Amino acid sequence: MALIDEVQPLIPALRRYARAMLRDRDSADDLVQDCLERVISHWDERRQTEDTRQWVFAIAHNLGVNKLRQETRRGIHVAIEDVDESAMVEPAPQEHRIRHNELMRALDTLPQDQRSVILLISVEDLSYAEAAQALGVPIGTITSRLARGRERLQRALDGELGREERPMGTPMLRRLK
Amino acid sequence: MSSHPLAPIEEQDLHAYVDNALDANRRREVQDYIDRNAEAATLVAKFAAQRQLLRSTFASVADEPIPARLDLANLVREGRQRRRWPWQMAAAVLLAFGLGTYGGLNLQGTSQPAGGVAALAGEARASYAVYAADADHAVELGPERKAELVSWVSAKLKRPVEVPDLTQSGYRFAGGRVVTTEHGPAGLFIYEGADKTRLAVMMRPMAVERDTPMMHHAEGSVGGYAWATSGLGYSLVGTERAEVLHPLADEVRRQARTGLTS
Repeated sequence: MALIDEVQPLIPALRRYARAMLRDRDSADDLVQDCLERVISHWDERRQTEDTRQWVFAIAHNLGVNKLRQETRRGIHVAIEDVDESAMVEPAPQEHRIRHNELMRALDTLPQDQRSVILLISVEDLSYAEAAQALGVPIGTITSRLARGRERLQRALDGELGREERPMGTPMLRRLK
Repeated sequence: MSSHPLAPIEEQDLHAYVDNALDANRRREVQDYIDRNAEAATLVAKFAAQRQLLRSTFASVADEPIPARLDLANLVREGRQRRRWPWQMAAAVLLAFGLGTYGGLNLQGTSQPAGGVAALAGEARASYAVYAADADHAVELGPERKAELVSWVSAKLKRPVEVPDLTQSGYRFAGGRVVTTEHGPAGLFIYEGADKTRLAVMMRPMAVERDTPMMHHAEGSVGGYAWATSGLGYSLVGTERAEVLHPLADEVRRQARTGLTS
């Protein structure tokens, strides 16, 4: 069955993207399940010209954004310290674990739109054109979000951003130095 | 040489360089620029390290066993039933909920085995440690018996494989063998640099994550890159730095792709 052949291999990557977006394992898998149910019910309506991976990621992304928005509205925010880090990353030597935790904290300082572009391109290997399609924005927006996001992430990793700038999903002011 | 004048190198070119999103000509131009410009080189190195850190942080998620509730075939069946019998389905969901709580272990059994790219990477590191590090018995068949090796590995993997050629990158093919992994037989090809440092390229069929982007992996002094294309998983491993191994892995992937289309 084409649906299963094409979509099944995407599930590990979908779980990874959802987990990177939402952090919590169960909410991320809920999102993937919602996404798969939508993929199944809309499978016959998708445009044949559209790349399946890009289409499925677009669905997952939109569900993720909605979920984050709802959580922000309801004031739910899981502090990174409360997240079970062992559920996030493979057992790694101490210095790796610290580095991974730092990265996740740094990711939290990014506006959601920059974070998604970085994850789709750096981790999921979508091309710029595929990411543009999946997020429904022009390629120029992808390249500029990617550049701004990576610079910001680098500053955060280098410890230049204050912790008060951390809340997820809120627009961020650039700190002038 | 290209006839058009060199387009100015912009910030986005550096990002595209890191993401392997440039065509070969532009990549060379950007590479030249980076070689001459220390500031650009620092930026590129930082962004590349950032990219690797992201990949390694989230890599293991994709290798976890997939929970039964995300089993696509199940979801398709449920979707059909739900359309037909909405309220009966609701009852079935309630029942499944109860069973799910008490029968969790059984349901787990229907999920997929963890045999993805992160597992492959670990198997490649382990094989490297046993074989490539062995000065005298690294290979079963030497480079002079390459054809025999190829047919042996192809037969074990039940699909045609080719030995990647890394001569242009300074690594001589030194032979190989079939190795066992937790997820079936794999081919292990060994390469030697001018300074006798060794690399290995391992490949095996993938039951899951059959097309997966390249990720960096490392543990202790052994590390490398792993990915999967059209159901065949690859991992290049060695003791060299990631910056040395990355272009070699790209080259192996490029050759595999060319081989597939030819």
